[in-house]
Amino acid sequence: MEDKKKAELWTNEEIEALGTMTDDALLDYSYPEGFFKMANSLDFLPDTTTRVQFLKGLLGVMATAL
Amino acid sequence: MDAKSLLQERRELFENVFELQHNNRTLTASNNSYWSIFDAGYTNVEEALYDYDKLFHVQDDFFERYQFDAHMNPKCFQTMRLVQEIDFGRTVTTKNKDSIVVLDANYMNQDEYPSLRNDRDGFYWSEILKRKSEEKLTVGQVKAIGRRMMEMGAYSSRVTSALKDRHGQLVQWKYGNTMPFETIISWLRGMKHTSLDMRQKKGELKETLDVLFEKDCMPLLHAAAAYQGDDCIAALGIPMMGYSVLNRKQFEELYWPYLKRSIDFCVEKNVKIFFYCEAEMLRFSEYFRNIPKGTAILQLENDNIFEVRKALPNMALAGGMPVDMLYNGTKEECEDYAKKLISEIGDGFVLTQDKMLCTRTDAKRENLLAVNEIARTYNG
Repeated sequence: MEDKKKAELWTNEEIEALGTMTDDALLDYSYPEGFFKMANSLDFLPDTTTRVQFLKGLLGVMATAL
Repeated sequence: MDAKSLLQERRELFENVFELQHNNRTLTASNNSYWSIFDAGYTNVEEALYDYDKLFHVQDDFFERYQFDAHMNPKCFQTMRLVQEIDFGRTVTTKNKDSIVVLDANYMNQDEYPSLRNDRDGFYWSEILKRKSEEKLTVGQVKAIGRRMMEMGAYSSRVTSALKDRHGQLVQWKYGNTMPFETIISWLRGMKHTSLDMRQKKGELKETLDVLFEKDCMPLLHAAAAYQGDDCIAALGIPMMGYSVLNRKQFEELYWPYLKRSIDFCVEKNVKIFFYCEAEMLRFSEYFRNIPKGTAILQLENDNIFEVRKALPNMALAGGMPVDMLYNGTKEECEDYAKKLISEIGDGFVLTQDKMLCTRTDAKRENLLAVNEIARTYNG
């Protein structure tokens, strides 16, 4: 259970199993589950690996540059 | 001369600047933040900042008009559009929409240093995001920000290509390596609370800076060492901002160890450094005295550049042209001052503005054009 707090230990299949969220849903701030559900919802990107990497970059920008 | 030849010539001239060798003309660089938007005729910065196509043309025209050899910030203030419609973060435009303010904000509690250093992404996601927005974010809003980040990436590539392939001009650096103290003071704790932490939680702060250096700075240093591109003055940039609030003891404990490791790495790997020093660095100049000639260019802001020249004969300098004079002075006054800088600073000098060009009253077009013409034609 402790390991599941580490985002890098999740497989794509486990991430995808968390499902997506609708656009009007409030962000789930739990980590990494809420983070992965947001990544799954980035439907303009092609696959889970790309979505997770992109959201990680976006998070860095939002937390610092803005 | 075509853009490719211009780029090559500029790279060679900048190599000479690093080595403090003589060039037959003085190189110039823009230190523009968003003044170029007013120069293009806009009175409301948001008109251009919130439209990447307009912003591209603002910058492309700026590159063409002034023929700078290089640019500190060729992409202008590009991130604001990401959160155009939501109240998020610490960067805002003023009521008249004629300037941008970055607020000194605190988003992190004093007891959260362990969270930051142990699981930064988790901490950012669970705590920082909600503290930076007035209301809870929705999934749709984050998706919209993500789409705009892709637009920003396309805009960024467009600017980079135009700068290199059409204008033959350089960017100041490829990788910007901010020291870990900047992460704390500029992005997470703000000036006031960082000052408190330096007194009350110095051990926690220091331990966190150590971790951030390994996580953030070392990968950038290695990337800079591997960089083979031809479109930058230096592979590595070190923007120095928060250091200006530190006394010498604090600087030695919280800033210099990371700066020194970065410098030593670059010297060993032969990586060129472009330092961008906000505020005044002269009181810390002795720390820079042993940097080998040929390693770095130092962009100055409020320092007396003539004094820094005497204190640091080992480094190339950039800066010097007073923004106040560029707006309030006559064309002749600007030309005379540019000649004085070129004559007295001598070799190893890049003529730039002494502060970021931001608001409309930071420069007049005719003065900036005149100064750049002097740089091209006057040889001391």
